[in-house]
Amino acid sequence: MTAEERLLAPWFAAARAEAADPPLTLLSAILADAAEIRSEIRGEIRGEIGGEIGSDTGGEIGAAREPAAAPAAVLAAPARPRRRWLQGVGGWKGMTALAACAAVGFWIGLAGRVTIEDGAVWAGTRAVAADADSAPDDPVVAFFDLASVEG
Amino acid sequence: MNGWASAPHRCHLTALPGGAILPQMTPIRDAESDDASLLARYAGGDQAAARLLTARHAPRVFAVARRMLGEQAEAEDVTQETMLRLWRIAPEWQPGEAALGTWLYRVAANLCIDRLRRRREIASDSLPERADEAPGALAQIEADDRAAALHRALRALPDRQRLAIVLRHLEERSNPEIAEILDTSVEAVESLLGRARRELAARLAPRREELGFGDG
Repeated sequence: MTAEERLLAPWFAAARAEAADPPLTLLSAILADAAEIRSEIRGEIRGEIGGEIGSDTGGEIGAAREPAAAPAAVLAAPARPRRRWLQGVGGWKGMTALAACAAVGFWIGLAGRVTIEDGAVWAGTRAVAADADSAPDDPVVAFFDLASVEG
Repeated sequence: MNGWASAPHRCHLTALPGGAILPQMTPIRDAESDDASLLARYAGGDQAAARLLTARHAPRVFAVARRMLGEQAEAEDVTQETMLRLWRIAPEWQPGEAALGTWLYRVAANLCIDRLRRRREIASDSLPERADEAPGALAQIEADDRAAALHRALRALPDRQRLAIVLRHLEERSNPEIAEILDTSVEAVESLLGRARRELAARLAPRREELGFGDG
């Protein structure tokens, strides 16, 4: 250590001990600059992507590459009319059950032997009238008989 | 070579016997603390990386600027401008080309020298003594008087000598790093420092007794 260094050492130590912290406003301004420059950089990248694929709407295409926002708006939106109708009949389960009942009913109507006058008994695959003689053999005729009785 | 960039620091506060509190820098050694990767993360859109870089580098840039310029507002301007240049260069930053800390010091040093030159052009001879400008002239007689005297002596030095002294003795940078910052050789830095120390010693020696440095 030279004579000058020895002489100056305490002066330098005193100067180093001085607080020289940047104010918080300065740090905030620096971070605001960082955010602004970052968005500029991202804007330029979008433009470059659009330019590379020869589109005039490069910015829009670049924007389309941005991650989509959370679908909160979709969740909050009112249901469409068809969906509302489906919800009214109990959803897909209800709709399936309804269709199954209709099919079974139609099948019974065609295949079953049903009479009104003497009371029909459904026995598995076909309806058997209590009095077999009074039942028409043709199921289509039986259907029309039933329809005529019901009026 | 570059302790600032390669071994980032965490600030601790240490109480001195007199009650004063000194910030001390302790190295942090984790992968996340790498400046180049932080800058790459920032360029990729990570604002948290910008916060880390700001917390790590802005105080040092500010300290150099303040010691070089002697004015808070100007030092703030230089710090903001230096960091702005860092954000702008982030996408093109080549890791390994230069240490980030050294690059920042160089930018800050050039900005300070520009301002000092402009200041001299505006009011070369009519510039009043800094001590007279300060609102608390009497307060300078107290605890910070020694530092104030040093700053006054520093202001009398040529810009590059002043910068060399600030970096070597106040920021405690190595001579090779200072050479890189000043874009010169290590020998030239040693020469700058030698001349600057002689000049400072000549100016401060008469005040040693007055300021309580008589025994040292």
